[in-house]
Amino acid sequence: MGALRIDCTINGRKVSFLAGADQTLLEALREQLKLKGTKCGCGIGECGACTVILDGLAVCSCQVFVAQIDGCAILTIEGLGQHDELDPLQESFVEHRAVQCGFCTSGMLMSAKALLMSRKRPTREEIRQAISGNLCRCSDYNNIVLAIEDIDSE
Amino acid sequence: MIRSFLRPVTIYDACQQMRDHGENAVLVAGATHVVNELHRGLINPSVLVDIYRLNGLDVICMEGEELMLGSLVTISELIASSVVRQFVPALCQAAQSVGGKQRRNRGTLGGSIVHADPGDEILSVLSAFDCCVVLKDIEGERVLDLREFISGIRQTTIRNDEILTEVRIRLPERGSRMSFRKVSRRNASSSSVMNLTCLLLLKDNRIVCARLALGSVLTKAHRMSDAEVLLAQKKPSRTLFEKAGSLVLNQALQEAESEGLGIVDSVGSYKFSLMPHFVAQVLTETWERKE
Ligand SMILES: Cc1cc2nc3c(=O)[nH]c(=O)nc-3n(C[C@H](O)[C@H](O)[C@H](O)COP(=O)(O)OP(=O)(O)OC[C@H]3O[C@@H](n4cnc5c(N)ncnc54)[C@H](O)[C@@H]3O)c2cc1C
Ligand code: FES
Ligand code: FES
Repeated sequence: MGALRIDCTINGRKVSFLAGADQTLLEALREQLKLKGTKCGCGIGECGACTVILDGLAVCSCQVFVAQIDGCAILTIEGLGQHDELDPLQESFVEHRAVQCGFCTSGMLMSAKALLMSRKRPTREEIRQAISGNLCRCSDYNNIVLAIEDIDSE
Repeated sequence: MIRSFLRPVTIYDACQQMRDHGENAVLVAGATHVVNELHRGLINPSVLVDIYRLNGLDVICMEGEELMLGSLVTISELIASSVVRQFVPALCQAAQSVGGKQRRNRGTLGGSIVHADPGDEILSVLSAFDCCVVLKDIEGERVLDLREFISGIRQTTIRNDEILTEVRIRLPERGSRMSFRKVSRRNASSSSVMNLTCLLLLKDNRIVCARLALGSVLTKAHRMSDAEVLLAQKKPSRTLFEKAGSLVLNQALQEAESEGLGIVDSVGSYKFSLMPHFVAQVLTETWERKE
């Protein structure tokens, strides 16, 4: 398999790495870059667990060839907040108990972040639309929606 | 096994690379289908040719009475476009019903059309219009009516060294009302059990012209001509729309039989039971819409 050199910006830092021509962005994040916060639920674009923000838009990283991100800017869950300084969205998820097993949470947060980057005060319907491609199988969608909604009122 | 991933910078280069590598090459746009087909072993190319960032294929504009859409316009861009919303609102509605936000951000109009899935909502809407596609190769271009372009379930008449660059939609007569509706198991991220695009032109409370395109039932989206003929020159009413629903059902059953499609499986049978009422409902909604 031909190795390709990829230069891009991930979580604000310029990175350069080698990738396979058939590798997805998700595989490269987890394998080469060891950014394991982005999860693989289905690998076929159905669940949204692998959501990252690519040039300002939420995408499923399992649905993008890593070769397509050369020159792009990517934000993953690792770039959202740190252990000692969570992003307000993360704080709100904790406060609203919007997390149970947590498997869907990084994808949920990235979809929510992409929405808040484009709309300062999204409506409840817009929030529901924004996370409609993210499946949660054990928590409560209502708490997730409330957690996102609470951000604009803070 | 994939040996190379090519990133041409012009349409000509992309066509040239596709010609050089012949059947070993697969074109990639948003990649939402290609990644899955590759991982499921449905395709086995040695070369991928990525056109996602080619310049000039993301244009949305009016030219005379035609709406021109570049093939790399994403589903999200269709939704956000005020031109699309103003002139072909049904396309905007259909785009809103596609997948989840992530798929809409990445998936392109060209990818939807070339994938030619009979359940594809975008294709279904386009079938209600006079619509053509522009295909380019290194020698030039050809323009095909969408009906000639789609030849069956996930089959088109595109050659491997051609790129779909543009879609042209002839606008219906001014004042036409239109809507798109889909039946699906969930609101989001769910493909159509059945979908319908409806156009009505009314004058003095009479239907001058009706168009109905039924998707996700037959091998490709179909115009329901029997019901269209029934509706023309009539006064709109609930009874008329119910009759039209029955005609759509009859025509769909006949077409399904002539296409050799089984309709007795569970999805098929409930799809057909829903159809008359669904059609009447979409017709009513379209009628009640503002021009
Ligand atoms: C989980 C999931 C859910 C989905 N839900 C829906 C849905 O609800 N409704 C719906 O309609 N679709 C849905 N889709 C389908 C898909 O998102 C769309 O069809 C999308 O627009 C495809 O575009 P793409 O650019 O990603 O195509 P790609 O994957 O890049 O390409 C698809 C095919 O078209 C060819 N191709 C692409 N562009 C061109 C071009 N310009 N010229 C020539 N050939 C080209 C490719 O070679 C390939 O064969 C879904 C897909 C997934 C994975
Ligand atoms: S892992 Fe990408 S959508 Fe499920
Ligand atoms: S918290 Fe478990 S899947 Fe969402």
